[in-house]
Amino acid sequence: MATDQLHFEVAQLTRVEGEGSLDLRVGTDGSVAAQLRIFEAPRYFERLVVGRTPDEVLDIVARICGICPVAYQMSAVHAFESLFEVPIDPAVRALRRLLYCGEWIESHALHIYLLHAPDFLGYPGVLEMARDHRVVVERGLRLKQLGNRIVGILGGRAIHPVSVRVGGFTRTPRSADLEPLRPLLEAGIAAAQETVSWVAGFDMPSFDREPRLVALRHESDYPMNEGRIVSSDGIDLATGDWGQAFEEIQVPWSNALHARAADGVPYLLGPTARLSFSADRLHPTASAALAATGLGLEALRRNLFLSIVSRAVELLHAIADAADIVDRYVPPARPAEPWEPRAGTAAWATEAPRGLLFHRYQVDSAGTVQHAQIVPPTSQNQAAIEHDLELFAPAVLELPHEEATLRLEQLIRSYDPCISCATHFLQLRVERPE
Amino acid sequence: MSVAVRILACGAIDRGDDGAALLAVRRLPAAARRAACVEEVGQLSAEHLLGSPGSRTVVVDCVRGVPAGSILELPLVELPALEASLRVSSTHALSAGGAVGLAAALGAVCPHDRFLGIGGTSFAVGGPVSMAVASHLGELVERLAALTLEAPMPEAAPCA
Repeated sequence: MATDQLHFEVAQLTRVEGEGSLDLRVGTDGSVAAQLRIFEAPRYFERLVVGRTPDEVLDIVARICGICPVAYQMSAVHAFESLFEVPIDPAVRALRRLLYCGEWIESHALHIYLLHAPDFLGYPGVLEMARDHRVVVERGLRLKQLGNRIVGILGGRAIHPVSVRVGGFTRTPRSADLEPLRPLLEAGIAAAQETVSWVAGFDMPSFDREPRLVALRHESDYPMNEGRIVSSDGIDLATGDWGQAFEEIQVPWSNALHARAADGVPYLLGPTARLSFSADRLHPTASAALAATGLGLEALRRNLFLSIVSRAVELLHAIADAADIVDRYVPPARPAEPWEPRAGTAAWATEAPRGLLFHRYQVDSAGTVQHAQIVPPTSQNQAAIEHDLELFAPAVLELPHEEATLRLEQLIRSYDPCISCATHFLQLRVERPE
Repeated sequence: MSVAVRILACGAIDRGDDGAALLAVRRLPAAARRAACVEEVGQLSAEHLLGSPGSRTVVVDCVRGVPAGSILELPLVELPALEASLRVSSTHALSAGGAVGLAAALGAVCPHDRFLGIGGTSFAVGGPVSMAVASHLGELVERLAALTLEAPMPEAAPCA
């Protein structure tokens, strides 16, 4: 058995959402073992929704995350509407996409500018970076503000929105309500174009591997709310059938369940996967910006450090898509369609900013939830993060320990992990003495 | 229309004392309301502090770690230091002090910007405002109104 030759430990991962640590050990035989230790306290949301109505579930699951609450609402609402066969007005469908665009804009801008860019520019954090790159950081904050503004208008408030309901919304905006967004979106497109070219110019660490990718792919749109679950090795499933190819497992070092494909091989979700499958669905503005970087899809797919470029391209796509939706918006005849509950299984997956987010609810004839399964993207990415750390570690072993540790952290941040999302579902087992 | 004072009220109305700042701005006398641009921002972010040159910004919030009901007022730029002294931190977003620190690094916090806080003790979802906060809410409103209506600030000092 190999003993440890080197030990890298990051006791508290910074510039990620939530609480976790890294433990990476290199054995005397050259073997590498990485553990992403997620110790954030479990949050039990899957139990909290039991006994609740579908509309109550939408408000509860939004509380799982302050950065991506819309994703939780979208996966849940589409699951219920699929089971109840609720017809959705095309204008409501467009508004939901606009709402999701707002979240992508806010989340991607936050990660690119405040969390990830300091790694590439050699700063410990955005505070230090802001002193030297004032205009750049202000641009990032304004992009983030644009996303929050969209969510605020459609969702009632920018964080933990409250307007999504089964069948539609509690209320839908008038055309005039969206007018103030037009100039902001126009400026946002220019800012996002600058973002793409800015991050594409970063000095990227080398890292070449062949990842298994999983994402939604839609027949006409860049994937958000609809599509089929596809993988780079041939999986092709209906949106609600995630469980046919993937499963969750518990590992002792994480308060978040891992997810694996049936063959046990890790897989990667998120902007890199989406872009790999759906670059032909990008808004022309985003497509042109990507082409101008000179980076091919193959490079983006194989080097995860380039995920910051994929994320920036998606940022631009989301703003341009939002601008188109606002331009074409005609309010629906009514904010929500009526619906009748029925017993069965409601299951759906949408594309959260960090990747595929799957929900599955067992409901009774009154529509009350009896059982819930929520599989966030970060929990699915955990195994891929550990696998990539083990592949990448040999490349940094010759560096000074502190620098090597920073490189490993940078790789983790390339996944944009949202640890608080990932830890909500741990099964609680209480063992009491006889 | 530009105004002399921007009030950024932080907190959640449905979380007991956390809604104190929102209750305060909703009770501002009419004269103060006319003189100010009031924004209920929920959680303070750095971007809230950008882009208001020529205005004085007053951030109002409930503060954990000081005696419940006590009122504190300080230059906004000192909020990060206060937060550090109270050992308040967040792993989930920039705290209010972190947001102010980032905005200050961007030159968006000026010496005349103020922070007005009230100590809170009860933050349960759906819970009421504590007796301590309820009994000092009037004082918070008065201080906020005074900050809003006080004589125009002297020639604006350059921001950091």
